[in-house]
Amino acid sequence: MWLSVIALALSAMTQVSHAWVLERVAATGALRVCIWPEYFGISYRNPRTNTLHGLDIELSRALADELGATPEYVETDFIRLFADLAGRRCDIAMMAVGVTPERARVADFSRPYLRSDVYAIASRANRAIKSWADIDQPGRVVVVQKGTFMEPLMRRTLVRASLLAVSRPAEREREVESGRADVFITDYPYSQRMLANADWARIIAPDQPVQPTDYAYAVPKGDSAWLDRVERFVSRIKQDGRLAVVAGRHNLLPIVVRD
Amino acid sequence: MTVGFDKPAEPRRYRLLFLGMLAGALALIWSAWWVGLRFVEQSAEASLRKRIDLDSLLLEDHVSRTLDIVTARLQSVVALTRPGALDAGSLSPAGLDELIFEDRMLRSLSLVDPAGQVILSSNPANLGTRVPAGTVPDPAAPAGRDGMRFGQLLPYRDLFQIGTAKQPPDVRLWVASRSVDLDGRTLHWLAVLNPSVFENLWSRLDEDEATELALFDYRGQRIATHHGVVPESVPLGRELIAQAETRMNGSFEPAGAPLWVSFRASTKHPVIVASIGDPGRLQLQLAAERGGFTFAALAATALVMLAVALLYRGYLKYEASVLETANQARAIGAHLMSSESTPDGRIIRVNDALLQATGFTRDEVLGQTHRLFNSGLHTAEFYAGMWKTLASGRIWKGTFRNRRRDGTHLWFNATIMPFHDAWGHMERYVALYTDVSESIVLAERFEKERRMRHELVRVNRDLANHANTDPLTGAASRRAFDAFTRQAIEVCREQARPLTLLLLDLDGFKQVNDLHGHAAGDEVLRIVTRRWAAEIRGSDLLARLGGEEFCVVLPDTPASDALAVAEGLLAATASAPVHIGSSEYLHITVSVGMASGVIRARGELDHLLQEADAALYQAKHAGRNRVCAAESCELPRLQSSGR
Repeated sequence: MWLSVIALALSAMTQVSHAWVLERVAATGALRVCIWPEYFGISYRNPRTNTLHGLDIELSRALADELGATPEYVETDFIRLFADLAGRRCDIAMMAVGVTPERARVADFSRPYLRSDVYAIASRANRAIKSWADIDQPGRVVVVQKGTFMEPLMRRTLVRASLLAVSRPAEREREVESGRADVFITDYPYSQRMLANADWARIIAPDQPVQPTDYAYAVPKGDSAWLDRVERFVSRIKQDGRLAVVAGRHNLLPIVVRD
Repeated sequence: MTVGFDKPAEPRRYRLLFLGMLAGALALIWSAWWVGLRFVEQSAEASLRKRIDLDSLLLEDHVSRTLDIVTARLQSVVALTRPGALDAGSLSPAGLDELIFEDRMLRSLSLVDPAGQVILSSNPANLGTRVPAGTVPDPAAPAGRDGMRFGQLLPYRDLFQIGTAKQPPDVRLWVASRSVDLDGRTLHWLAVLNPSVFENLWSRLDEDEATELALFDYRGQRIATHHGVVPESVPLGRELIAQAETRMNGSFEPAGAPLWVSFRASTKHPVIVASIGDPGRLQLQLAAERGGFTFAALAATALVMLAVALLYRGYLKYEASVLETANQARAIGAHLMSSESTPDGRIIRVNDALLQATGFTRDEVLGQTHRLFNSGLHTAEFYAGMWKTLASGRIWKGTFRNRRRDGTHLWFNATIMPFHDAWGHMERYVALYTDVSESIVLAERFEKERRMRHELVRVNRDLANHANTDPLTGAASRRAFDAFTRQAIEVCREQARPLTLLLLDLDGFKQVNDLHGHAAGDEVLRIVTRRWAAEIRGSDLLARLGGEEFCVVLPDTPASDALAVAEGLLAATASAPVHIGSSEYLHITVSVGMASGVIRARGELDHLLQEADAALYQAKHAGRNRVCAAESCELPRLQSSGR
């Protein structure tokens, strides 16, 4: 009985917050976009110029333009993101958010625009790890970024190796480089960063797909008008080729979802 | 074409030249190949030696600075290790972790009590671990200047694994330690070092399989190696330590392995960096380059051989054409006289035939103009015409009357050709001559003879009237004979040519008269005279000297030719029976006395007539129907039918 009352109240609240984001954006002229500034190729703050670059930085500007607003970036990470969305600290997360059932319970997702499998990064000096099968072996230490979808994925799939979840910026790289861990697990965009910036690193791609994951835009739960608006944006950038052009610019073309 | 071609072709010399050219080019190519290979090999070896020297220099610096940082970290924790620090929490696992967080060289920092137990560590897993004696730096062993001790390389990721199950073989640790006295106890700070930090750097610096980088400690054990090309079995460590005992850096070739080692000992830490070059692998790398060189040399060889073959083929064609030209020139030179002169007329070449004909020597002729041969018999217009033709580039042909050295004259048929060089400029004149003097003299003589004969024919014709003709036979009369012989003697004298007389007397003519009557005799005379007249030339004369005696005068005819005429007369006489009257036929023959000689006066003719008469007598006496000269008699050609 109480449960149904709460459910009713919740749905009433949802009804009340209908079109909340669009109204707010129209009123303030600002679109608040959640980004992870460490996400190379997606939303990355260049340490030299202190400016933001990446696929989702460009696309968020395009979306804000369509809404007649200016983008306002809210820096977060995958641990805090869903609290930020639920707490309405940002209107949308444009940071290649991997769609998982757990996450779909706490936020609404647009249709996917990227799809990436996972990759492992080892140091060059580590000659023993040659293929994906060498990772899950006794004594191996695998690092993941806390809060990313790789954390539950690896917790689920690793049998013999031990998992280390870290949260500090660039901690994954240091753990592997110092030898405290053997590999860290990341996705396609981040592996491209390693390829471009760290010549001590080697990329180990899985022999078989491990878990290709859809990346989508996440919005606060319950604002269906806003979700529709975002969906329309995603469909449009796929159709008019903007997504492919921008992805090509950031070397992400291989993982674009074209529908 | 050089008309006086006097340089023979030298096939042997040119063939040798071509062979020499080919051999020279091939020698050049293959010596360049050899030198190039040596150069590439030597420069590759030199650059390998240089690189390993440079590698050891740079890496020693990097290793020393990295270990400096390790030293500094240990010094800072030693400085923090004060009485009560452990209890006050100023030294905490989290604090230690924060200290080494950014450091890729350090995996963990741990504090070990005298019993070997870890009492504090940046890695919580290490806490309580008992570190077996001898596996980490022996606290009793003498420390370095800065209080540092370095231990063995162990196959673990961190302290807590020591003595546990077997770990992945590629994860190794190296321990540095520093002792600290606290509250009367000697504790040890252990830093677990990551040897891979060097390997990571090295693999970025150097992907060349011909070089290997290695870090050794003073025990001679390998702390880190690069791509593991040099097998662990090569006992480099011991030799390296021996070398490092006497010098801080240098290079050597270890016994038992074909390797070049450049080493550098750290000035602060007990490590030696070695850069190892493998000349064997260098050779493998060079093999490809060597193949390229050899291919280039082979290609160049093929090209050179082709080029020389083409040149040689061209030369053979040229040689054939030169020989052909030379042969033609020789043939022309053998047949014709020739000379060459400059455009201004100076003689630059004459052949032997011309010298022979003119009687000059070559020295007298060369450098002179053709005026040397000028007989002075041609007009200025003649030469002007010739020069005009030559100046217009055309060939001039004509006949010269030239002067010999002895002043006598020569007739030359000349063809003068202007020769042009490749640019069309007048280069020289080439003149070819034939000596036509003889034919001109012959022609003159022939013309004279023709005129004389014509005169005799005219005389003959003039004499052909009634007064000079025998009415019965139509032959010349005695008077005409005299007139003709006068003229013939003149011809004979002028030309010093022999004159021949044939005296003819019909055999048995008296019997014809006696048996058949005078009319038959006259008929016989008429018929044989007609037959004889057909046998002689228009310039000869048949005269009836009396009765049945006739004489044929053959001017300008030697005895041999006259004999043929006489035989013709014999044959004509006996050729067919003579028809007298209605059905009577007589077989008639004649005897001929022949006399021949060069007559200059009338008296000599009479003498010749007597000679002919004597010969006629001889013919009669010898049996008739024959021709006799002073010496011998000839029977008629158709003797059988004559009898």
